[in-house]
Amino acid sequence: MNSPTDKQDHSSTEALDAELDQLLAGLAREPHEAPAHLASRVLANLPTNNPFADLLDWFTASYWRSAWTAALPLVFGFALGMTVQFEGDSYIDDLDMQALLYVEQIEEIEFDEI
Amino acid sequence: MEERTDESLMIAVSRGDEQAFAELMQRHLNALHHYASRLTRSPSGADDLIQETWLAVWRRAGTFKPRKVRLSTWLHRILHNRYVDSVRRNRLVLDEAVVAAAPDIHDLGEAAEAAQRKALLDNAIAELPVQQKAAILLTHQQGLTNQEVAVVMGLSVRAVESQLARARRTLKDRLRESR
Repeated sequence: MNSPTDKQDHSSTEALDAELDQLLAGLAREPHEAPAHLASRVLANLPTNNPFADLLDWFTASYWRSAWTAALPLVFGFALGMTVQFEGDSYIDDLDMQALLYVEQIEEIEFDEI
Repeated sequence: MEERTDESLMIAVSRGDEQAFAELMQRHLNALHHYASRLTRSPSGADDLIQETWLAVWRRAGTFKPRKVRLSTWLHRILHNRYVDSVRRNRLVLDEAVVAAAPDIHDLGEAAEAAQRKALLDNAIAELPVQQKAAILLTHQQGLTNQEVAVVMGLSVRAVESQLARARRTLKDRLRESR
């Protein structure tokens, strides 16, 4: 035969079960809406059926962005080197010209004279 | 005009129909986002998980077999797998801001006490191990049958029942402690 304490425990467990069932049932009734921007964000990121566009997407993907950014100074330096004429260049040209003239002078020397 | 079924929309999606994809998303986005929000407890984490899930749906639409599972079950399975992967990689970070704040018990009033019990349950669910949490949410929040939960989680029905029983035990303990 159950003691009064057992009966009390049993009814307490039943009450706890009922409370949990009630709380869990509330989960399904919670109102919830996804953020409005989410659907358009997903649609904007859909891969296309165009392999070239996919390749371009791959290159512009977020994990490449940092690499591209890090390479920018190099690209900038290369572009600068190709387009800008530095004063130093003309100095080198002068030196080349002098060297050429010197060679011509050497050729003019007749070895018999030596 | 007759509404297209999920299955016919999926066939269109597998052929690259973006409009059909948008319609499917409109139908299932809220439910999936609700589940993702509960799993991750982070708004940005839930958004990322949803995006990964729908991109996977777009890529793998051709592999969906309507005779085997309902579309919602298949969608939940993709989301669940993505979530488990991200947990393994420790990529998801719990956003402390969205941890439910339990109202002060001394505040009293029936509504305040109900809100306090609900917040307690929310936090207890959040602290459950991944499998138990998923089983509880899929069953009680998403309304899936045990068979469907088993498909989503890649477990047997008995294993799902075991996860549910363990989760209930933990949740009851938490409710008992707070009395």
